[in-house]
Amino acid sequence: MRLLLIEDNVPLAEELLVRLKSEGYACDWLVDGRDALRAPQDESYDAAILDLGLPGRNGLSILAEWRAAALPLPVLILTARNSWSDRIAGLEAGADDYLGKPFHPDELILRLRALIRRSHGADTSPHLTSNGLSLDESRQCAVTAGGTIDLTGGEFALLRYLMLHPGRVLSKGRLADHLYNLDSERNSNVIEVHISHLRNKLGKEVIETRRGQGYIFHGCHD
Amino acid sequence: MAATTETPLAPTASIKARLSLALLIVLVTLGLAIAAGANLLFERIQMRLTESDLSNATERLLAAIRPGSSGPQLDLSRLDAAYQRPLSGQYFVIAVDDQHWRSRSLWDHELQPPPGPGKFTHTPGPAGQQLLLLTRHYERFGQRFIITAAQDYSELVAEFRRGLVVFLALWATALVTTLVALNLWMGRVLRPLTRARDQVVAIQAGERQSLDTDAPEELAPLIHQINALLAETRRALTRSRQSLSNLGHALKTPLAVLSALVEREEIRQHPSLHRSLREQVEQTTRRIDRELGQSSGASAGGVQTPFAPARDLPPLAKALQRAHNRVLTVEWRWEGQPHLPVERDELLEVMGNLMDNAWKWASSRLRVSVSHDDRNWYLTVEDDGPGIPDYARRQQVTERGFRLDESVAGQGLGLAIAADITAAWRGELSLETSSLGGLLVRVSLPVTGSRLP
Repeated sequence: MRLLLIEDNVPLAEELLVRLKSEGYACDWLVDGRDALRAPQDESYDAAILDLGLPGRNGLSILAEWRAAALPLPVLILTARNSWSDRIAGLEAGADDYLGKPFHPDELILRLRALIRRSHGADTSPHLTSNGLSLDESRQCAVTAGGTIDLTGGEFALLRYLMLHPGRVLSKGRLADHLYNLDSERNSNVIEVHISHLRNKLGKEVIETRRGQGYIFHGCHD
Repeated sequence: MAATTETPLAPTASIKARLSLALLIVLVTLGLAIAAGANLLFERIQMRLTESDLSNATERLLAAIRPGSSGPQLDLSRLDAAYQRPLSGQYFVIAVDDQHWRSRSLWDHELQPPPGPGKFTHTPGPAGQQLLLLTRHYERFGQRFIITAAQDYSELVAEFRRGLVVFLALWATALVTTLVALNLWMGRVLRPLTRARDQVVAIQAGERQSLDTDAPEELAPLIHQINALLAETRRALTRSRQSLSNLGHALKTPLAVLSALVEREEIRQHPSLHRSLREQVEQTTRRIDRELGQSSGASAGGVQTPFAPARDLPPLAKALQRAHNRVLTVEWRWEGQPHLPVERDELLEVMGNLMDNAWKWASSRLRVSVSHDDRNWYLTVEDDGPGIPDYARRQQVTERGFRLDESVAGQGLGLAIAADITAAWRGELSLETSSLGGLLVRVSLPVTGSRLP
């Protein structure tokens, strides 16, 4: 999952980036409102966390402009202005969720998970479930009929993305876009390695490889 | 600014009364002075006229003396008939040699002759008359005549006094009329003041922003001054609310940083440190939220946007559904398109907190109603959750000044904020048991809709 974090407070953004990364999210961070305006045109973002009091451009007007341009990106507003009238104004401007500062980081993660799942039409039960496979996002492990299977961070992030797009062909390029930061360990080998580990842990039929096209998540069909 | 509830002190002096008194003193003094002056003038003129009458009378009496067979005689036919009518007011006594001729009109009254000739003297006459006397000495027919004539002037004086009384009566009538007219007129003149006072009441009630400036010339500067003062006060209040709100909001981001830092692994390894740090952050947050709820950034004086349940509440339910990630059935109950005279943002904060609370506890349903009677608007939020069965605790929550335990996270802060805002709008918040089984929170707001400053 690739996130766009737009927050002008550096210490807060830094703390959030660490936490989000540990949750298996790849994050890009912007400070200025004007930069934020064009950022989601790059379609690799799965959600945005938007602060309202930004330098250069007010967060609500950025959101309104995104929505006017019919950008479907799920947006979670993160702001100190959290009276109910502010929240309603934020939701009416097109936000998908609203979180007032200060917040517990766990709360942000929970909201974010629900937000991303909703945007993929998945239900919002505690575990992400897709085609007979269940994913415990807080413990970062897969749950099958046979029991719990531990996953590494990389495997977890990849599996989560696959599970949110079941039955669809996902190219390596697309997976890399959504799972890794531009600067970090971005080479096709990493994905191949993770895929092969996932197959070993969950079973070969869970992920199908299409040569030259990408991967398809099928899940566990007993 | 709590002047409306205090009994006004007795006014030190009414302008009306003062003006009336001044006018009364001036007019009474003037009236009496005129009466006294007229009296003096009249007496002088009357005296002069009487004196010249008397002078003529002695001349005529002398002319009426005729030589007769047995000495000089008085020819009565040549005299005024009034000398013959008893107590007519015109008298004479003529002394010649040892004889005294008296006018018949004197009847049995003796005229006291004045001490010397040629002088006018006053003397009381018969039947309460006031007489002016003149004695003159003449030589005629070789004899010496001492002629004393007297004339009553009391009738004239009485006539004048009667006139004076009529004059004073008319004067007094004029005086009373003037005072009544003055009072009515003062009422009219002071009407702009009464109007200004009514407008100040309206300003206090939040129905107005300033006083009308189309006041009389003398009052206009005061009105302008009051308006300037109001504007300044409003600006200062808005400024201070805004700076409080800015401060509160500015503190939230650092608190968010702290909240995130506290969750770091290094700190989590020391559970007691982690717990107390978190508690402190949470307490600070609650404190800020509560103060912000009270100041709420609304501008002072007048409701900018009234609260309209049909417009404002459904989006709130949508927001809550998002926030709680939980779909509940909400039953709305109001008639028509009510508009409440309370600032939208503030009542939205009240309803947001109450519905947020209900959303937490409800098992599947919420009921929200808005209604009113002559005195109050009533807003209720009910849920089908567990409620607060403990009556004593419920009472506690609604007691004035009660602060819900601030050390317990997430407990009742929303209710406390709702109660604070309700109190700021002179309303009340009470907790009851809902027919749905859970808690019913009722907010009553006076229909006049004014916020405490």
